[in-house]
Amino acid sequence: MKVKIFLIILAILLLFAPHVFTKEATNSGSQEIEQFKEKLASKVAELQKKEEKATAGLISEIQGKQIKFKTKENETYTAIIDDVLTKYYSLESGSKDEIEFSDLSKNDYIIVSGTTNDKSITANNIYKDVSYTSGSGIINEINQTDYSIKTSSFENETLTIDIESLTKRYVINTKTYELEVIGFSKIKTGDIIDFIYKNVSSNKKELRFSATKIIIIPAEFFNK
Amino acid sequence: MKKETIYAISLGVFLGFLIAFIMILILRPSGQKKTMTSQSKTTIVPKKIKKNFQSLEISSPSDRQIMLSKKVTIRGSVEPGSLIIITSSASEKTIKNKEKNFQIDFPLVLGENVISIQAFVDKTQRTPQIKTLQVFYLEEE
Repeated sequence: MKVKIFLIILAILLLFAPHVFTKEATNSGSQEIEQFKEKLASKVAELQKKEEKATAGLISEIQGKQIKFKTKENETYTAIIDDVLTKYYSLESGSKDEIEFSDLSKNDYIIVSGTTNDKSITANNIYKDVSYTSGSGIINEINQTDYSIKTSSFENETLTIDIESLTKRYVINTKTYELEVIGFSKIKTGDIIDFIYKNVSSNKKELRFSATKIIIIPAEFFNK
Repeated sequence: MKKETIYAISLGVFLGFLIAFIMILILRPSGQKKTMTSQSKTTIVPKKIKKNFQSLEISSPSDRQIMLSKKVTIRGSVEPGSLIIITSSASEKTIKNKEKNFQIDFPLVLGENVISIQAFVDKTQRTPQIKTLQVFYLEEE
């Protein structure tokens, strides 16, 4: 009789044991997931704090306490001004000079830092700055009289780049891969050119720029 | 012990094992998920093998990031042996990368820094891989 009872209890235990163990495993699993979620959330918050971002663009409209500006990607953002908190600076001279709200006007290039909510930024600081654009392409034509270079950009646009006396000109040494200064007469068609220019009027689509810097990758680099 | 009793006990034990086995099968979705994950990972591998070269990736800094010091460390990965050219209005640097990963300190100027990173992976390819970063050095107070 004792053996019979023992076997019946054993059978019952076997019936329920897997369920109990699985439940325990599920419980510990969900606890681990919760802990992981908490860790992930704190890590994201930490990274957000570390990686503060700013947004820059051209002022399209100033209306009351709101400044609308358009980024280089043609996205329109609104900077919301706080009379007490928002501060204004100019970085145009290379140093940080405090300015007034009234010093900002349409077509100024500004950098806005603050809390961003979709396309709206509660501005902590607004910086008036100079905007630069970079590009590159293959040299198609060199004009030795007006010191200009016609290039087909990698975005399939034909651009004319003016080389001024102040334009920094570099070439890549195909042996050492170091940058060296190059004279305008040494630049050839077929070379690749990287250029940087200052944006003077980003409202209309210009196809001629005055370069502040060029880097030449000679055609020989690719033939070796 | 009667025969019927032995049959009943044996049947009970057998049923117990059977139900336990069925429950183990039903309650193991996580195990199935693991299999699916490993399968999906395996499908990525052939894609990598098919690729001719490692594409240019920049892990840091992120685009539009505010920096609080006058230089930034650019970290990324590219096909080993690539010529990397980094330019901005403030500076320019070149490196011939031996390894897949690269890291280079690059100076910043006050305000917006548009940094162009180009990689020429192959001397037969005249079109470089290009990544452009907008990084701000703002001396926040």
